[in-house]
Amino acid sequence: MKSGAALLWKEWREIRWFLVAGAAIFIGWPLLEAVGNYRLGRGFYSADMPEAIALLLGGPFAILVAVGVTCRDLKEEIMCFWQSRPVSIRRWAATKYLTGLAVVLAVLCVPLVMKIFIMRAEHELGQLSSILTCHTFTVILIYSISFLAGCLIRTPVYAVIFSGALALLVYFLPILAPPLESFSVFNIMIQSPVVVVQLSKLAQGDPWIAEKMRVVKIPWADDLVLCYNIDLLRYIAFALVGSFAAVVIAGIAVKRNWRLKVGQKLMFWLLGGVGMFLFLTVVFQLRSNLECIRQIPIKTASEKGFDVAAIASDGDKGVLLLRGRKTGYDANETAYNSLMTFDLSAKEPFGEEIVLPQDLKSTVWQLVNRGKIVWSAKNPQWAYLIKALLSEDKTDGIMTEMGKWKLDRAEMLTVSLDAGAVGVVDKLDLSPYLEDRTTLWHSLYMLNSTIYASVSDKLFIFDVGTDGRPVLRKVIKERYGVYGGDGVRDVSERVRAGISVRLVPAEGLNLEERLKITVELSGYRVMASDGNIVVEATGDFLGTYRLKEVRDDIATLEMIGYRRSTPLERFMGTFPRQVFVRDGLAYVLGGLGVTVYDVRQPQQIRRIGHYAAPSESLRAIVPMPDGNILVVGNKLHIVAPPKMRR
Amino acid sequence: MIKALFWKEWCEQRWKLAYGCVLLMGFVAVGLRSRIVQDEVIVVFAAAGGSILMALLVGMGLVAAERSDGSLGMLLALPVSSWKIFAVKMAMGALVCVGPIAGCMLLSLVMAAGREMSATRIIVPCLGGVAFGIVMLVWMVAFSIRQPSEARAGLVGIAVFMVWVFIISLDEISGGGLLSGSSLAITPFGIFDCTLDRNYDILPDVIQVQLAIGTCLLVWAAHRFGKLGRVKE
Repeated sequence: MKSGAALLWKEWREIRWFLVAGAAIFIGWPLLEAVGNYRLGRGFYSADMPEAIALLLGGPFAILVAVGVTCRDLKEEIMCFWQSRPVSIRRWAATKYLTGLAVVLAVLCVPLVMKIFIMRAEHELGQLSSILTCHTFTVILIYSISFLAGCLIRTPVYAVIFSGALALLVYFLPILAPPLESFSVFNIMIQSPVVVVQLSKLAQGDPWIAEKMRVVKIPWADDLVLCYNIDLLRYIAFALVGSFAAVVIAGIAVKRNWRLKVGQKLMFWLLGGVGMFLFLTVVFQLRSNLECIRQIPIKTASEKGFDVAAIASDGDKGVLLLRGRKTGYDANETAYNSLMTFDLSAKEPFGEEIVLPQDLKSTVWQLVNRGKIVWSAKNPQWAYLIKALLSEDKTDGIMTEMGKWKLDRAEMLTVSLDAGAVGVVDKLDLSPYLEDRTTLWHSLYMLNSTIYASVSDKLFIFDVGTDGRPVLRKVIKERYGVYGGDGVRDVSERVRAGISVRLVPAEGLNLEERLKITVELSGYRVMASDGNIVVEATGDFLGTYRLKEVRDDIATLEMIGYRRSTPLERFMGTFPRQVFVRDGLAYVLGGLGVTVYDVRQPQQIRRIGHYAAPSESLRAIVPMPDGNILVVGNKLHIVAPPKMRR
Repeated sequence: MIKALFWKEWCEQRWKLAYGCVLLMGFVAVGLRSRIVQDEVIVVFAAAGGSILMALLVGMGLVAAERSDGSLGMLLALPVSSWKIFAVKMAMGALVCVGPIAGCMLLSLVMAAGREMSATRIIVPCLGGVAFGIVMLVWMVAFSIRQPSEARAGLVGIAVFMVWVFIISLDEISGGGLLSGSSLAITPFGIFDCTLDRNYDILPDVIQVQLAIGTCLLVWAAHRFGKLGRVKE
């Protein structure tokens, strides 16, 4: 037997138990789950176990194999034996490295490839191919680093701990440190790095991602193209170069008998230190640093759960629209809706709860709740809201923003908040004015004694009389509001674009007021204006626009600043719900809390503050006259603004 | 002599107590101050993660380190019965396991009691974590007491943990519910699971079962501790 074959045979004898154990976990466990699914009638292989195990245990398995193949033969006494053999140390080390790597890749890839052949669903294949094309190279890098750690440290437990600490950095540091974003395996996997699509179905998608995608025509298939993310190539190159460097250093370390003398304490402190470093990196980005001055619990008549669906307020005083929840398994369903007035300067801040009729349940189910109710401090005894009834559209080909639903009926309601005469006192049917009812969005805005109501892309203007009842003054059928491009999501700022806005009619309003009303009524886009500056918040970025010109009621907004959310912010799901601008600060309400951005220099947006109330479902933010902000969740939070430095 | 043994163990184990306190209490302090997730997540994560980490860390070095250093023979040669030596080791190990979690509980009470969670809702999962840590330590020591090195003891500890996770997930996959409710009492996770689910009705039964299992494991471990067994090659 030649020496190479003998070395291979020896390695195989030693490493096969890793293969058996790996196969039991990486193949056996998903198979067990699959059998369970099959028994429960959910179909064979219907779960995500292979992907989950590959992502969760792929790295640890690579570490164990790498340390296992190195530490045993690098003990002092066995090392002397190997040095006496007529075999090159590099060849010996290379055989070890490649055998271990083959076992790791076999265990990691076989279950995923099996699932690809069993599953044919397109979205599943995309996810599996993402893991295969990205995570496999991460595992190769971790394996190589662990191989180097094993060669240097030579004590299995310490080598495992050292490798574990480095693996934590490889996995998580790039997602936590924004400059390393392109080297995060999770970021690249989320962006679907490699897909084969039909040329006719090639979607542009998010412009920021689209800029990174490259398309290669597949020669033997007329209609198929291969799309890949340029970041993937960079990542693969980084992983391979890193692996190669680790292997080269490992070879030198073995040849020259380098050893790293480490102790138990040092290794555990290193592991703990890396963990704390990563945690502090998360905290540094997402910490809460705004002071909560006061929290006021909302007490409803019902002891069951409730949500604040919307708020209309001038800061200290206002009215809350509440959604009472059912109990038990139906806890997410609405039991009733009610209104409740509040006055934060009073000793007893909350007024009586006014339960609305049962048929109003459908008015407050939407996730974005701004503009659902209006109220004015000048006529505090009245509140106004839209009652929108939806119905299922069974017409083929109709596709609304919510799928098969369409707007069936819409009414403008006037609710009296006066003690002794509470309840709905007036209804104005808006249905006759509605034509295309596929846009389900509706929102309200009140300025002085005029109410602007956007219902299914129609603008209704009401005058509120002295008796509090709204009188319909005008219906505008032309589509108004924000339309056109989505703005520019180009980090390199090579391209600058803007958005176009059809302003609401003048009628005694100045340009800034028209812009403000238009922006406040702008459907799902979370925007706010301050003078001639407009701020837009999305899940991906915060952008600032400046009013450039107005021609025939069409205003052109030019993008002047852009701040892309960090990978961590996107990972934590900070989808914005509301934004307002005051004193050059943009307050954005998201899933994690309220984040404050400094937009005094709109070209340079800076994140300067955050208020987190993770246990609450925050619904709205309102500026208060004294400079504080009112954050509305299950409680009312009065939060101080950030202290300005420049 | 017992006092001397305690002192020896204290000198060997105290860095682990400091390590656990710095790491876990640091995590709790930063987590509760920064409020990036719910307070409950921080407290439960510290209790669960801390109990596993500390049990593993302590269990690795309790007996296996003596074997690998070759000092176990000298220890057994002392004029003290072997079960007493073992008892001292276990007592100090349990203290090191419990200390950081108790510290986390006190810190949580100072920083966050009444904010999102009541004091009781902080104390209960922490006590569950303390119990879980001790139970895991007993399981780990019982199965790894003959191992000749810390690495092997650590692997055995991880294997014990993984086997239980495997059994429970197998039970859930099969849809049998064999290990739900009272029968969950036999797993090391029983007490912690009851405190998390606030399933106080079966908690006394679970504690009794865990005490019985723990006693059996300790007796078995003490019996094997007195024998030199395998030593590091």
